[in-house]
Amino acid sequence: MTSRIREHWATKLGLVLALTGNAVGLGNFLRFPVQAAENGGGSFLVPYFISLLLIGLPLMWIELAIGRRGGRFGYGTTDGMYHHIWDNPVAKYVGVLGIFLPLMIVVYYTYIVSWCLGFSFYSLLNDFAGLDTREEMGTFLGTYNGTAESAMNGGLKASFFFLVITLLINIYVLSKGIVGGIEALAKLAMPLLLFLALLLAARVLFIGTPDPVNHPDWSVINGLGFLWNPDFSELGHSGVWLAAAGQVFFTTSVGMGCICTYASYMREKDDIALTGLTAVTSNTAVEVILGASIAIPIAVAFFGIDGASEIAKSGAFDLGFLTLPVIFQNIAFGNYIGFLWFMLLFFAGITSMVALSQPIMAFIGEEYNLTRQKAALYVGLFLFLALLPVIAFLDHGFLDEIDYWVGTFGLVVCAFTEVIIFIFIFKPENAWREITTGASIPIPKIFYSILRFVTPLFLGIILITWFWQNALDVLTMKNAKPEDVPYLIGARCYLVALFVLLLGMVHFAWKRKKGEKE
Amino acid sequence: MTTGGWFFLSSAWGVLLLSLVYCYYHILKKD
Repeated sequence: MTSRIREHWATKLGLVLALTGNAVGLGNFLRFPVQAAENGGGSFLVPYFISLLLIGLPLMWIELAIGRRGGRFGYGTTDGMYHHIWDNPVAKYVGVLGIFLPLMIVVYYTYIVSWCLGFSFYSLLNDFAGLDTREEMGTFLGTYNGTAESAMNGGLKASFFFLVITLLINIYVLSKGIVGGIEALAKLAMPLLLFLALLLAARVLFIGTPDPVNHPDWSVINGLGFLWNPDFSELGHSGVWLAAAGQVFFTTSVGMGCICTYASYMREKDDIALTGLTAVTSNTAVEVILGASIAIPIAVAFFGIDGASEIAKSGAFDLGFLTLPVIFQNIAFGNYIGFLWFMLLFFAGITSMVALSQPIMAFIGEEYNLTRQKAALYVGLFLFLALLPVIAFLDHGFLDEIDYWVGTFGLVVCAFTEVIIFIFIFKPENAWREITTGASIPIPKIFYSILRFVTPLFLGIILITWFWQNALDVLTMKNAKPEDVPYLIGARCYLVALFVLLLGMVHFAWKRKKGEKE
Repeated sequence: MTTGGWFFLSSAWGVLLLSLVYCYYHILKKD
């Protein structure tokens, strides 16, 4: 147990906005509409909302409860939190996942967020002018991140410039602490994000039918129809249910350890039930109301249903970074609209970026007695150095490999361990008491059974299915290009090395603590 | 956009907006 006095959130609203900021990310505006369009349109909402009730909300409550309990005993990260729940020497090492996963994710997430900043700048300067196809935009992006060569922009130099600015923002916010940094950022960034999203959604809805003579069917209303018209036959496919469960899982940002760390700054009697419900509802509203009203409807208005389907298949990232900048050039003041779009993604990204950085901040700050400023500086420096191989080997699938293991597979494993430790080892009745303590709204008793049986089962199914369908292929590098294989092995060694380093840091910190006690 | 599409859109928006009002009313009341 650490002896330093821990910070607390100044207001309930600040905590809710910070949790929402953690959950709202690029995926709300890019991943959700693509998933919905590909998996049954409006009927996708049926498994989506069911998954929200069976996985999203229960996991949010579980993580808030683990975190608030841990914070009460002086722990800011899952190593200590698990150790306090599960009296076993292994517990703290299992908890390393809650530091390792967000740290690894934030390494490449920071880079993507810096692209949003860079692209907002290019859009404002109208540097996309004349890039009329997605292929040309692809070359622009490739030049920017060093995977292609052209004279379209400043290339890697510009990329590093915006990366350093993004890192400096991260360091500044983290160094100001929970109230002065993260809570203040959330109170500024979230209303701004909402304003930008509303502005963009309104602009998109007023586009109507851009070319009524040649393409009368290419309209925003048909774009909304593409997303919302139900296709109930899709509900019979297990893939649609898994896609919905996966979307809910990723969008609520559970299974990373960030929510536990944020919750460790709650007070003993702070409300978990209402806080969790509000954060999940806010994130879902941003996704379902605003996220679904921008990218896909405008893509259908300019490329038609068939074109939008093709775009959706090429992935959420292409939609945001390649397709939309091309479309924006065809509407009045398109460069300013593009600027707002990338600023929206940037604000969605930075609130998640600080949340992902906070577990390692809490760990090195509290366990190694570093000041906030020093800890933030070390985190910033680490992120920069750890990013260098990601940038250097981007073209060889290095980032995608890391993203798969930590950003997809790792999250489900981490969530599964949380559920096992908190529900089964800590005992369901203790877990329920922890969740409902201080609750100002009643949690229906049915959630007691959901937490005990349904959530673990649902997670187990996702874990086994993903492992069965994807992990074996990824593990054996079945679909990798032969020339990329050494880089993918390198990415795995990189992950293992950093995981072992963190295990060592946790081991040393606990050994030192034990020594201090004696 | 079919009637079913409008139904799903308005139901989802309605449920979410009402939930937001309920949640933030209670959160702000506590602050």
